[in-house]
Amino acid sequence: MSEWFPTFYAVWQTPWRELWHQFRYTPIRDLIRLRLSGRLDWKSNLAATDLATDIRQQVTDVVKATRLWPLEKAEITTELIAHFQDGQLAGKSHESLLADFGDTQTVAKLMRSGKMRNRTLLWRTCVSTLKTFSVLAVLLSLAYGLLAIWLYSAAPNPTVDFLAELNAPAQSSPLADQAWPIYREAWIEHDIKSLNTYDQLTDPVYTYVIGPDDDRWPSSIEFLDQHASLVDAARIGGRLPGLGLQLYPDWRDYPEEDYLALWGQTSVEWQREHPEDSTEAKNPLLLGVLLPHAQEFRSLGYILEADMLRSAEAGNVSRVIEDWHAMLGLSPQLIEMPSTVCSQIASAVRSQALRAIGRVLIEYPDLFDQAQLTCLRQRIESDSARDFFTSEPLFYLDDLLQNVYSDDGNGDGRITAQGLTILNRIVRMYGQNNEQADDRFSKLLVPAEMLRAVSRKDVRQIIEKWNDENSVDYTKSIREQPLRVTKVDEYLSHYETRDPCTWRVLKMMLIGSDDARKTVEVAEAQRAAVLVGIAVTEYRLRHHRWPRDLDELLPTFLSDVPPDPVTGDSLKYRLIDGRPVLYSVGGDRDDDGGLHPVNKYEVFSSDPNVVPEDGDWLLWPTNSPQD
Amino acid sequence: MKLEREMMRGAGPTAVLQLLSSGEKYGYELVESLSRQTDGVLNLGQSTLYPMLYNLEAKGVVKSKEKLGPNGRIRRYYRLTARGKKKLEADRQQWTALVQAMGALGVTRQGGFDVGLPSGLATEGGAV
Repeated sequence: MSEWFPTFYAVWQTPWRELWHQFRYTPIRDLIRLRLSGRLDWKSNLAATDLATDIRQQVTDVVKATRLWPLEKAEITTELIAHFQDGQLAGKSHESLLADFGDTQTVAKLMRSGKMRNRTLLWRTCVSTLKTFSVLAVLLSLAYGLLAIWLYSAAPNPTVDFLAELNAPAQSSPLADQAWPIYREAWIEHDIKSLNTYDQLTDPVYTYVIGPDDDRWPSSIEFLDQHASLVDAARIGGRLPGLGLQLYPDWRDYPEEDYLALWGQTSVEWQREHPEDSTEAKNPLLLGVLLPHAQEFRSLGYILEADMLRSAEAGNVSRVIEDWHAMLGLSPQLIEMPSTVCSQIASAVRSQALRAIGRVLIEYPDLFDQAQLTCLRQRIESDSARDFFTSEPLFYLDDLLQNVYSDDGNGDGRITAQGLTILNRIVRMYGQNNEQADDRFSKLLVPAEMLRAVSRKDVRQIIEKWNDENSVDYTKSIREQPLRVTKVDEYLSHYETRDPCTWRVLKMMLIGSDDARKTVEVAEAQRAAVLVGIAVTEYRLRHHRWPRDLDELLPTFLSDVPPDPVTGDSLKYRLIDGRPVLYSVGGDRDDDGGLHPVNKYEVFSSDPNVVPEDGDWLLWPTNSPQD
Repeated sequence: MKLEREMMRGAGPTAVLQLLSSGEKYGYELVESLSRQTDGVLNLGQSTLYPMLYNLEAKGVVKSKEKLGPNGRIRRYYRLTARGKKKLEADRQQWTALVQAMGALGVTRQGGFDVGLPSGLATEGGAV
């Protein structure tokens, strides 16, 4: 109590400012003991001594230079004050005391290391661990940096102009065989890019071409009349064996007329008003070569089918056949430039031609004579949609590889930074992986990704293997194909996290594989059905009635009944409301009597994970208002 | 005579421990004792002594405490710990063996030194 009261009284008398000062410079251990010692304020303690100024300065310099914790500094100050005061008491001059003291920095350094050794084991362990990790981090960063330099030093060395090779068939075909000059003139005249043929001639919901029994038919007729020269160009051009269109790496490389035909008047005006677009970097890849003509072939298909229906309605058989041959001729012209996209559109246009002739057969059963029907059958038998996909070109792959990977001269190499930039840009175009590509942290991981990426040779082998498997699938019907659990996305997901670089390459090359396979299957099923449809029509022509079953067609009109593409049993045939219907039982393998499913696109799927919808897969007639 | 740095590094800690074996001492007292009792041979400057004391404290052979001295000033006093006493004993034996070995070789003159340790390290109470 006697010690406590004076302390309390002194505190009570101290002005607040000084109290705060004391508080600031009191160690926690003293505060816990309710003592405002203020002993951390070593400068004030030093200033309060009777030591000479130069000695005080020396002590200050040493204590500051130790860079120790406040309490440690205070302890050293106290010790040095006592030391110098003892020296003075012993009669030594402050000059000799200073001379004996030694160099400021050396003393500070030694004191610092001595005091630090007195710190707790935990603190010293933490510091040494931190130092060890820091050294390791520096070494690893250095190694990673060297690795990055090594990886970034590789550059692609493209040597082959694959576009020239792809353009070769178009370039070598005789001018008289080329449809492009005919199309070009008509496309420019009618500005096909702004025509919007799809909305003008088809039902937007069910996607069939509007026919004579539809309220919108008069406007279709008006459209055909207004664009008669375009219809003529499609009919004449479609029967030529070649297209003759040269493709260029960049839209700016096209001749003026080609550009006007392919991009339309609106685009030309846009370019005139926005010259800055012309300064963009040019596309370096074959994969990036645009196919500006491809979608317009769908437009030509709609125009020709509409004209077929008008001709059938008018009883103009020869024009119906001409239109139909022209429709079938569009597909080979498209695949003059071999690419998956062209193959898919070619297959779709060919399917449309098959549906169109099937529709005319059912709606105008007396239109064709026997010779014409035979001619139609022979034409259908002569080609197969499988032909469009069996020889998937590796030009695209090789062009991508030569622009993305380095070249060791033996067909191998490693992924390059420039190549990765190209891949990222293209992957972004597909709307995926934006965040990853833009993330700065992810960029730091790029060298690690590059190190993990498989080599150029291995990537080629992976894609060749995939293509080989797909090519085998294209030659088989749905029921013969193995249950392909591994689809493209699943196949790619294996690489996406394990090897993102290779994933980007594969993503470029394998997109659309599943869709292509499905397109082929649908086209082949339709082809078989239309051939039976022609036989049924021939039967009616001779017997003036539809056959009761398909066996009645054997062997005069049909050598054998084609199999149901799903089950392998005979294709199903029924007369519904006096009209023949050919169908497959569909994915549910259940005969629903020719019942149309609610969603006709899900009745068939090669994907075993898709639950098939109830209903049948109608093959003839199909895609007509009666469906 | 002044010892070379390496020699001082080996002898200094043992000398300090020896001085503390007679009781607790503060820094200046140690500096003075070393200088006086060794005729300046082990004249440790402050720049050597205080870091050495901190190192000895870190090793647990000495312990320090701030106390009010007789003149009313605060000083830091150092004293030997139990470990320090053991260490001093071990050092003594090593120094004895070393001096004897050096003497046998004729490096040291037997007459100039006390038994085992340099004469300067003898305490005021007698030889070590």
